[in-house]
Amino acid sequence: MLKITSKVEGEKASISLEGKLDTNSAHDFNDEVMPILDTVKKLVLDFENLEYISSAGLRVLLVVIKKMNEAGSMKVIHVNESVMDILDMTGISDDLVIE
Amino acid sequence: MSYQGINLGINIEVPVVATIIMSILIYNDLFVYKRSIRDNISVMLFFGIFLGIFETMWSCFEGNPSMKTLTYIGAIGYGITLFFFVLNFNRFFLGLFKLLPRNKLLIFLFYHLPSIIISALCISTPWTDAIFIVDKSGNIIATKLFVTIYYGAIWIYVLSAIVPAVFYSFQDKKREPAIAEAAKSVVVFGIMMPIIYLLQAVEYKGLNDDNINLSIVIAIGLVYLTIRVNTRLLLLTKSQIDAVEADLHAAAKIQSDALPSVDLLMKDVRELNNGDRLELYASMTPAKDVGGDFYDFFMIDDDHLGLVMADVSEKGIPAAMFMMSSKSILANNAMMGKSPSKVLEDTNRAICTNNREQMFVTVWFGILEISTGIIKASNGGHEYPIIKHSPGKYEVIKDRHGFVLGFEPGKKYTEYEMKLEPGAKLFLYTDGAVEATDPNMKMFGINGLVNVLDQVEDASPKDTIDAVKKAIKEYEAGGDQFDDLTMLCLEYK
Repeated sequence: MLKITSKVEGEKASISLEGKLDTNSAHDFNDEVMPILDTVKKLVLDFENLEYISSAGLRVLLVVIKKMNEAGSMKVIHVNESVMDILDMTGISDDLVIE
Repeated sequence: MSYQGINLGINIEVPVVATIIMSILIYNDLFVYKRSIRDNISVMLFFGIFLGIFETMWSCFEGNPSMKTLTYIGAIGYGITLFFFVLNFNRFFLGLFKLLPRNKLLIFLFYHLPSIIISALCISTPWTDAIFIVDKSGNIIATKLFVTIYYGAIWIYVLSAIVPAVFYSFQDKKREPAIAEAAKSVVVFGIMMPIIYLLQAVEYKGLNDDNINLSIVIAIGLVYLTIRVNTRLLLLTKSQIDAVEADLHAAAKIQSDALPSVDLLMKDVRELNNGDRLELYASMTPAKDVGGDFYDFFMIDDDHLGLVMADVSEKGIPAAMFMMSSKSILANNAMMGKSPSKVLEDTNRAICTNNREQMFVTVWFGILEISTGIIKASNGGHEYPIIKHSPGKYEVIKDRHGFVLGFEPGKKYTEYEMKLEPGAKLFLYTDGAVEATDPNMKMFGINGLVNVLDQVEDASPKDTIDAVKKAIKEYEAGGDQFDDLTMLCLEYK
């Protein structure tokens, strides 16, 4: 359901998500992203092919945002309209650099 | 074919069948019931299988002078595995009855020393003729030592497990059901073994050691034993699951009881000056037994009605627990007469304090002034409210959203105002209503929801909600309801 591709170079990392970040895939995303956060200061999340994000997915995203705000910086790129709606609706877009 | 020939044929087939039976049992034991390989039952089964293999060798090669070495291996293997099987049988049941000796010396004397002696006697027998002799024609002859010492030891181990078992099987079953059950298995096992043994003897016309296969006796005994033990395990697991399910149902009842009753509210409202201006209905349908969605409504004073629609980020028990505490924190804040944005700010701060699990809740909170129809509202990351003005169609109010609650203390929330004219309706819902999917995983969506609402624009709040429920059920086309579905509809007259 969700394809996660991550690339880490020193203190920079980029993760792109493809598919649906929902209850079923939120744990996979969590397991993939958490070890990366320990070493990284700059994180880019590419949402180009992310179709949908559910509240379980948002929970992981919020934890990532919280950690990266403490450890460095992060931004989200290529957000499509329906995912943007969800980020707006939950107020998360206010806390996030979106390009 | 001579009688002798038939006899030899059966003699080989029986231990082979026994070995196959026990191999199936061990497969079930290890792979279906996930029992450990070091578990007593697994160990007994392994010894049983080796016993079957050695007995097959014994039956195959006996009477063939050129196969003297293989005959010896069969007989020695048989002697050792049978002994260790019985030893394990004894330890397993004495262990269950809590009768195993604790003293190291006793353990050594009762278990280790006999094992060493019997093993030594068996292994050395080709040179010492201690237990078996394979004579010139290739036949195995059991010595006096075998009949006395070896069989003696076997009987001591078997009887010392069966005697306490008989005692325990008459014990009070209620006090120690597990022990009584195990005791019964041993007693049946103990009765069955000699019966099968005798049946074989009758079959072969005489109690002649040469014709009797112990492996099949043990295999049948083990079939009985493993079935008993595993069935008991399953029943135990099932009763635990049943208990958890009963708890879940109780939790679901507590949760639905915690949601306010429309009838009670309407009764209170009717007594107010403008009471006949309101009609309200709400429903929550959890996807699992318990859910994370909730609605709430309560009179703040004689003219102000608090309205809440909320959704916790997860589902099931954790969400339900989070929901219960969020709901009461929110209601307590609202009853103090604070403004909607202040209610969300303070609720957020309170939830954040004890939220190590990093769950969150989205909340729409509004206060309706019944006399004027003015709603002051604030949105903490929740779905857009839908309003039908009169006259007019249903319309999604794209209100400004604050952050979800429970994640960051100190978040600010904005507030806005709407006015309900007589005949207007307010529809609140959680994401279960818009994220319902059809069999092709296409979402119902906000447009789907507004379409249904428009089709029943003149319906009462209850009929409106029933219509949406029905439409979503049809849309899901028999698929499972994936998310909690919660709705509230208010009509202002």
